[in-house]
Parts: sequence; C-alpha cells; structure tokens
Amino acid sequence: MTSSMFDVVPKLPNELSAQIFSFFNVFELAKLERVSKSWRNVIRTNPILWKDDQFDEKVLDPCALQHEGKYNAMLEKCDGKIDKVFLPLFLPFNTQGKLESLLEPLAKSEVKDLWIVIRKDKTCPGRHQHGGPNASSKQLQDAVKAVLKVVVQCAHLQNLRLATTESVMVNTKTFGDPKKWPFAANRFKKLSYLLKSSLSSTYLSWQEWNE
Amino acid sequence: MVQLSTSDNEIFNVDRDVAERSVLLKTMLDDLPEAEENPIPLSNVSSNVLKKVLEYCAHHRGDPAPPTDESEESRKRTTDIGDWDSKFINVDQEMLFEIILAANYLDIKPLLDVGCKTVANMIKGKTPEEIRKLFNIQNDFTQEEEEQIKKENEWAEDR
Repeated sequence: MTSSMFDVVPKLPNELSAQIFSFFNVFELAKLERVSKSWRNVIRTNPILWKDDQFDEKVLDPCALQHEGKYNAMLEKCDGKIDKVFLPLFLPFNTQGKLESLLEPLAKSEVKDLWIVIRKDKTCPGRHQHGGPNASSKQLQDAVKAVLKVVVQCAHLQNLRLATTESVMVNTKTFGDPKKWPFAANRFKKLSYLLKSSLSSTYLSWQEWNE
Repeated sequence: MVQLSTSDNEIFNVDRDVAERSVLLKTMLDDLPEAEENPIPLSNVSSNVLKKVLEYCAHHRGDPAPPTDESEESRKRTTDIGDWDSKFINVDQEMLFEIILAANYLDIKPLLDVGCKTVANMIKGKTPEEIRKLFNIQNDFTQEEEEQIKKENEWAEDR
C-alpha cells in the first residue's frame, strides 16, 4: 500500500462503517470512540454494536466493580436493546442502594437472557484482594430479593440464570405468581459449570423457588 | 453472457454465473429476461473497480450461496481472510474503499465482508493515537470532550 491513507469512516455510509466496527468487542469500541467525532458518532448511533453476546472468560471477569461502568455504558449505548446480560455482583462492594441502581435499568431493557452471580465473599480472582468483611447471609438474601423484584418486571426475559455462593431461601409469593413471570421458573438450572470457572462453592437453592 | 456498462461507459462481457455473484444483478436477470440482451448500466461503478470486482466474482463463481443472516453470529468478530482473498484485497486504500462501496451497491456480501475485515484488521490492536496517525485523522475533540469520553470509558482501560 503506497498511496497515502485516509479516513474511510466519514466517507462511507453509516451502516457500512458500522459493519467495520462490528468486528470489535465492546472494550475495543470504547477505545475507538476516542479517535474522532465521526468515529464516535458511528459507534454510538448503532446500538447493535453494543450488544455483548459473548459470555467469554473476559466478560466473565468476576470483578463486578471493574465492570460496573462497562455494564452501564452498554445498557445506555444500546438503548436497552440488549439480549444478554452477565452481571456478577460482589456484595461486600455493592451496597443495597448500588445494587438497586445496577438492576433498575434492566426492568426497562429488552434483555432476554440474564445471568447473575451473587457472591458474599470478597474473593476476586486475578486481582488484589479488597478489604472489608464478607457480607452476611441476610445481605445475600436481600440481594436475591432485589434481583427477583426487578427481573419479574423484565417483560422480554426468557432465561434467568441466578447463582449464589450459598443457598438462599426466598418466598416466591412475594414476587407475584410464578406462572405470570416473564420467564419459566422450571428453566432454573444448577450452574455446575461455574464451579470450573474459579467461582468455587457456587450453588443454588431452587426448592423454595419452584414450589 | 451478460453485458455490464460502467460509469465511464466501458462494456464488460461476463458469464451469467459470474454476474450472479451479485445479488443485485441476479435479481435483475431473474426478473427482467430482456436484461440479458441490453447492457446493464452500473452508473455507480467505474471500469477499474468493476474489473477488480469481477475478478473476485470469477474466482468465487462456484462457491456455495453465501450463508443467510442466521449465521451472522458465527461470522462476527473473526477477521480471518482466506489466502486468495487477502492477496486479492492487497490494494491501495482508495481501491479498497471503492471495492467496499461497489460490493455494497452490487450486493456481494462475501466481498463486502472481506473489505470491511481488511479495514478492521488495519485498526485492530492500535491505540486511538496510532489510528489517527495511520489514517491522517484530525483529532477534533476538545480537551474537555476527550476527558469526558475517557471518563465514561474508564472501564475499558487496563485490559
């Protein structure tokens, strides 16, 4: 390539530039936004680019705080038109108020597949240990309640995968008739494969939820 | 044989199965039998670009039909390009740009994909500064705007 290079993005129709950007994940897109106004414009006016449908190990980074900004940016930039959300919650770092602010936008979104992991310990593999005590079982239970309160409002939800670091008992009647939930309660499955992904002692308690 | 006439009034004689790599031309030929008798005007494509596009179509004339939208997911994010295709697309940037536009206009999805992947590969792994330098892009953000975006996208740093 000998001739001098030029910027194709502002010269191509928006949808063709978007096609070029479709080969990048949300982390790369966040950096590409900084190149110029026309790049930012294309990246932000194509919500489809912000659908993160990769539950790969990078997205599955268990540090919730690390990804709070990503999560918020994705929800905002894709205008709620998102299919799948993976939300790892670490109770020692996520206060109840923060938890609610993280969950609230989901109710208005079009999320179909929601995967939430709630941990009450402060273990954060691959990163330095955060201080502070573990959350109590009561806090974990409150967190599960907060999650259920929101997810039963997610009209597009088809699949909910919820994992906690210890068994939690919740009275489902508090959240309306399970038959009217947007997702089928019998789709709850034990996330045994999460055990392999450095989230040890992850298990669920469905006995109460399925009653 | 199908005749195609370019924006600079050059006439190309093309085998029908080569022309039909283009969904636009295929639809035209299927719907208008008389299109085979008269040259089809391609007013958006110049002869040097069409020559290149037809080279691609001729090489891929026997390929199975491009996958439909359902397999979009598997296509996504792999920027691998086949050997012949990467030699084919090793052109100057002006030509690459023209090929992308022509592939879009003629509706040749696999070629459009090769073009877009090629641009994506030029961008991959580079910092915003390196990208600006490569493509001669003016940084048109004010310092405040730049700080703002940086703050909004803090979560993407350190990766």
